Amino acid sequence: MKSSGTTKIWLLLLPVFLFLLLPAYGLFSALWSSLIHQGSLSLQTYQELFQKETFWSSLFYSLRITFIATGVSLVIGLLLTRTFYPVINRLPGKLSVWLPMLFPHFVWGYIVLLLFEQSGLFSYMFHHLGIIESRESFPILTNDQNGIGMILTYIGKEVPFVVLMLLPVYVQKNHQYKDLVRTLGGGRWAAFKDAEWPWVSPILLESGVILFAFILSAYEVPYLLGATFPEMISILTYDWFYAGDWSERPLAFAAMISTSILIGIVSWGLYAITNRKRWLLTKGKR
Amino acid sequence: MTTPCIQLHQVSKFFQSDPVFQNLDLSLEKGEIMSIVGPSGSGKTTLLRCLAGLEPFTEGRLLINEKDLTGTETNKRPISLVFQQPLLFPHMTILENVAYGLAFQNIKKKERHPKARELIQQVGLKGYERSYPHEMSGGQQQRISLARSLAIQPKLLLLDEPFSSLDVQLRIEMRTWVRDLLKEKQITALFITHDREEAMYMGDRVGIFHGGFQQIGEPDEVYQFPSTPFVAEFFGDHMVIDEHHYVPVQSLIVTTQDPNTSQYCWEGIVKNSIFYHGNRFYQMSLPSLERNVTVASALELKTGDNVYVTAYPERVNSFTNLKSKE
Repeated sequence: MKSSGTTKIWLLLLPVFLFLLLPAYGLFSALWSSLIHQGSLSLQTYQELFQKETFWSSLFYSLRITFIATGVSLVIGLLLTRTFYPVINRLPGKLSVWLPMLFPHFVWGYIVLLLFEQSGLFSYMFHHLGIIESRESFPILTNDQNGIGMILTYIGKEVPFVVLMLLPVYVQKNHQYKDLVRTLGGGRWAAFKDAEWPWVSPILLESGVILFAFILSAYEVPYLLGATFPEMISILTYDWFYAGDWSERPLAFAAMISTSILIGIVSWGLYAITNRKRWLLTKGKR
Repeated sequence: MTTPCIQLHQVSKFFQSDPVFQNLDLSLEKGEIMSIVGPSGSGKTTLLRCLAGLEPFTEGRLLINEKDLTGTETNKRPISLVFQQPLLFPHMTILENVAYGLAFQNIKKKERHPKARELIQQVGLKGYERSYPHEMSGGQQQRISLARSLAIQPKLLLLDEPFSSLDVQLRIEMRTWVRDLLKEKQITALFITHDREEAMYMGDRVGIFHGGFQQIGEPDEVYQFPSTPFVAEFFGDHMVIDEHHYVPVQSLIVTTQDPNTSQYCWEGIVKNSIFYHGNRFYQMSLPSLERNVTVASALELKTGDNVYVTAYPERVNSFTNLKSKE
């Protein structure tokens, strides 16, 4: 009995493995290329990478943009969902959240470009309304060194994603817990902290991990809206990969592998912290 | 006589312009348990939510120990509520669950746990302090929920059909046990149920609720002397003859032959039969009264048989609210 059950599970997992074949091959070949130096296995490429100032400044810059964009998206998504979930759960509400999900990131990036560029719609409007004297006095919000354009793009694109992740939690949650906390003497903050946050936080964290991994390593948005310097890690890697000769390719591979390891560590750490609580919460469903 | 501990003066609740209940008066002595029983949708849960402060009363006043609490916020009222579901926090241990409300009463952390431990012992669950709710049965969870509500030492405890999610056997055990505990601790309580047996057992007094109190009194009195046709049918075992008169069903006589009395005799058709406590009961319809009635009889009857149902005139009563008006 047991063996047939196990066989069934492996059969069910087969499509997953087939699907993972390509990225897994990519990951291993990148790892392999980064570990081969002059024909033999060594960590030489990594030593070279970690000594490069450009790598570290690019990594920290990427982390900063990623944390800000992820954090703001989570907060806005949470506030929107908890305030409007009864409305969002109806069809027009669901459609309005689903619709932005259908556009690729670069389309969203173009929209931000068209709206926020110095020659964009908003500067045009403000100029004509007399709020700014010339279109050049509109603040530089795209291709800027602080990455505001990228952050705006990610917020616009990821908030609907966060809302979609949180919506089922708010729809299925037992809202009597809030009444319970109030009758036991708790105020509004206690009602949030004890009757809402424990159910919401695991999903919020999960969404955060997905956004973190995606934003840290995505290419198209920094390509459209990033500054020439500092560069996001994906752009730097791409430049190395396609640099005139192939000499910097191992560096590109090493940088990609390092980013992947970083994402892996962050995800694993956060899951480990919340695993027990998540388990208790699923047990509590009656 | 002392002033009642809980007083409700002329309270009403409207949703938009629809009344849920209007102009209710009620008072409870310290340590008294009152059952409120009524069909679903009669507004009893709304009354409880208004008392807890989760909804405002549209009109009227609520006094506890002569202090007006009508406008007081939920978390500032000395009232706690036990819900239909246990609603234990799944990520907290039993001890943390029971101690939960004490944190809001400025009780030091060191004193909260001993207090909670004492209550866990009183609800018979000593040894489970470090367990999690999912490890407990439905009945145990509801006991912990009760302990959590009692921990904050409320002046009034509200119980909203707390046994409705339990199976029949457990319900019977729980009600005995809860009543004993509340009496032992001298807790003033309002107990809501739609089960009249439970209402009779739990309450020192019962209030029959249907858009307001139809009748309030000791269980025996309400059972035997209903004041309105609604109470007679919902709470007592009576057959309502017309809007002024009723007859207890145990005094009805079933015969297969016409007893030739003109007063209080109706033709009936047997619908089905059941056994209860060793006696045979027949459910029959009385077309002339447009009612069904369940009557005990030793006769051997089949479904579809035509029978006569008779009541002795001396057993026919008037509703109590009519008597007092007469």
